[in-house]
Amino acid sequence: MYKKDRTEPFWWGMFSAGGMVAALLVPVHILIDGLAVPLGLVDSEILGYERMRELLTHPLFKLYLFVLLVPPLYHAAHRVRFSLYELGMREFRISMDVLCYGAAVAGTIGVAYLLLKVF
Amino acid sequence: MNHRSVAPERKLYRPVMKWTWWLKKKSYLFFMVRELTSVFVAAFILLYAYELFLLSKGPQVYDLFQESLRSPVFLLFYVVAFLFALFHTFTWFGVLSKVQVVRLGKWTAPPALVTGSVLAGWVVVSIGVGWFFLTRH
Repeated sequence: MYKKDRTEPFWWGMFSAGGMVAALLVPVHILIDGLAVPLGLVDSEILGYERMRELLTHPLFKLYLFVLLVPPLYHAAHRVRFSLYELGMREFRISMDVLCYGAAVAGTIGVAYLLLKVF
Repeated sequence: MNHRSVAPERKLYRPVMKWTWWLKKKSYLFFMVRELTSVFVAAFILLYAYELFLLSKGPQVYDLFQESLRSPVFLLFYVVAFLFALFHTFTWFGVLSKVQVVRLGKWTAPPALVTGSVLAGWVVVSIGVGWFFLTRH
C-alpha cells in the first residue's frame, strides 16, 4: 500500500538539528537584532554596515551563519507539514512533502549562494 | 474517469474532525502553539537572511532597512517572535530530557536535572553570542 520512503530519516534528522539550533541560538539573535538594537538598548554600531561586512569576510562567521540559518528551515518545514495534516488538509496535486521540504531546500540554496557568492 | 481501472482502495476509518479541534482542550492548544513557534522562527530566519543580503546593496540601503526595523510593526513582530522562540526553547529542552535519558552507572539523572543543565548551557551560549556582538574586535 505504502512505498517505503528512504529519505524520511534525513528529514527527521534535519528536524531535530533545526530544533536544536532554533532552541539554542535563535532567541538571542532575535533579542539582539530585533529588539535590543532597534530599541536603542545597545549601540546600533554592533550591527553596523562596516562591521557586518567585515565579519562576513570571515569563513568561520559564514559557517556559523549557515548553521544558524539553514537547519531551522527544515525544522519549520517538518512541523508545518505535519500541522497541515493535523488541520485536516489532504494531499492535492503537488505533494505536501515536496512543497514543505522543497521550500527548505530552496532556502538552503539561497543561503549558500548568499554566503559563498554574494560575500 | 473509468473507475473500474482503479484498484479498489482499502477502506480506512477516517474520523471526521473539524479543523478547530485543537481549540477544544488546553493540551491540544499547547501542542498547536508549539508547532506554530517554528513558523515564527522561520520568519525570523528569512528576515535575517534578507538583512544580510541587503549588506551587498551598500550602506545606504542597509542603514535604511535597519532604520525601518524601529517601526512598531517590526517591533511587534519581534516581540511575538521572541516569545514564540522562548516557548520553543523551553518545550524543546523539556522534551530533550525524555528523549535523551542520562544514565551514569546505576544512577539515572532526573529529567528536571537534564533539562535544567541544558537550559543553563543555553544561557551560557546566549551570553556568549551576545558578548561576541557587543564587544568590539
